[in-house]
Amino acid sequence: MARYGLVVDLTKCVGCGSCTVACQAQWELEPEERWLRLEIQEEGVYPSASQRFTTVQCMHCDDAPCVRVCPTAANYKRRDGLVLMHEGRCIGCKYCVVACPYQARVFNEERGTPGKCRLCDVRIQKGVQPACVLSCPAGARYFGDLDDPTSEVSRLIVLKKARQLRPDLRTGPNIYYVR
Amino acid sequence: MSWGLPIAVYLFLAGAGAGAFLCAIGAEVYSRRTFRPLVHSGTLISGPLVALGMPFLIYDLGMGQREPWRIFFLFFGNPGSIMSWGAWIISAFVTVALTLAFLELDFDETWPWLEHRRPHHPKLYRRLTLLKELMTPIHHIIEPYRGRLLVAGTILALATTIYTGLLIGVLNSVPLWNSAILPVLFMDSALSTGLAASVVYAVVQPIEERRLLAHHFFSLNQIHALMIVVEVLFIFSWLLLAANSSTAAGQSIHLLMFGDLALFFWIGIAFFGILDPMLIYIYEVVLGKPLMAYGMIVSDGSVLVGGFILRYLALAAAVPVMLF
Repeated sequence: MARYGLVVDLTKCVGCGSCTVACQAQWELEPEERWLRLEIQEEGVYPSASQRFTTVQCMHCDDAPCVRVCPTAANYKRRDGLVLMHEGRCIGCKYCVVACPYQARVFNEERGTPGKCRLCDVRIQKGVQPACVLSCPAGARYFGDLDDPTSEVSRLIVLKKARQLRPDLRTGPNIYYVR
Repeated sequence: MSWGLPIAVYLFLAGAGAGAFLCAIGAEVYSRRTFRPLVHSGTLISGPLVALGMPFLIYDLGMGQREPWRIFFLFFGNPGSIMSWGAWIISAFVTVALTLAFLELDFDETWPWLEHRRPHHPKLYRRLTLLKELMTPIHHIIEPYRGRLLVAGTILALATTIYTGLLIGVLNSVPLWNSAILPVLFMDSALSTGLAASVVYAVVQPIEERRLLAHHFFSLNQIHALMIVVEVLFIFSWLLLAANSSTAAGQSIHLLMFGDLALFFWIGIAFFGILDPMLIYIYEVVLGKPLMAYGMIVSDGSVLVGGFILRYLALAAAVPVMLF
């Protein structure tokens, strides 16, 4: 079975935010509702200071805290690696929102349930790349099967030494970053 | 963070209710005759207090007002979730505690508050008397099981107080919460606020009850002072360990002690929760005799304010783990 994930080459990222907007357009989100957000850190001291961009979204963790804490089992891990939600089972308790160390869940007051990156499940089902991957003007995002050693993402992880964000939290994130 | 005031109220009421129950049990085991007013008020208020927290929880649920039947998923969806444990524990506790509160009412005697209503509201009086007569046989059926209900209630009350701390303590997303001290701190605070709630309720009762209790203010307040000393030690260790554990936890502590929440922390917890009741209790020890009944409302009411602000600040000071 597949284990879908992303590799984000941050050395190519210019911080334009296309991925955020493409995601919002794909899922018809409100302007302040970001399933994929851009984090900016400042590094160094003047005059050699710089900014570093990191895109943060649901990490589709192997041992996802949101799945573990969800009292109604509305959150679940699909066999292809995606962490998804049964909207009809969710009671809106926000336990998953506080449990996610990546703050990847955005609560929607209007609907009464939280939303999150779904790795564009409806697109990949048709063989189309996720919206954030296709929209990246720098070509910094790669989607693929992490279990397949010949896939582009697996090769990138090895070649460019891509790493997860905070793997020490032991959630087994499936988004890798090249720095 | 996503959890705010309604959840703080819910955690506080659950803790105070379970704490009141445990204090009533402690007093009953020690001597039911001596501490009769405390046992009486603790048993009467514990179930209603926890039950009162439920609407706050449901109000906070995104789907609570839209599709409330989904709450049933909470019980059987995921047995590994602490929130599901809480749903079982609290519903069982409320059932047991309300049954015991029902047993605490004496159906064989006339109720003065009911008799007072007889001349002014004859219709209401008739209805309530009928209700009482209908309830009397049920009371007699359940009464033999009181001992077993007390044992079950004690276990469930202990579980409730620990659960309120475990609920947020198991999350490694917020370093301030992810601490072994939190569940025991919440438990100690639950006992303290539970005792305070029982005392406040007993003090506002008819005069003879108050006099009975006043007799034992002194020993009660010493026990309560001990609870607060333990609470101070727990809060101090919690904050000191957190301040030295990680960047995010350090930021939480900064927020609490010097930042936006400092006013709540120093006035709410340090003054109302600790200093004010402690000064009153110490004053009594120096004086060698208990203050009058209404002094209890000041000291114990202040404990309740402090206990609530502790829950609120624990939620409000949550800083998520650093990602970079």
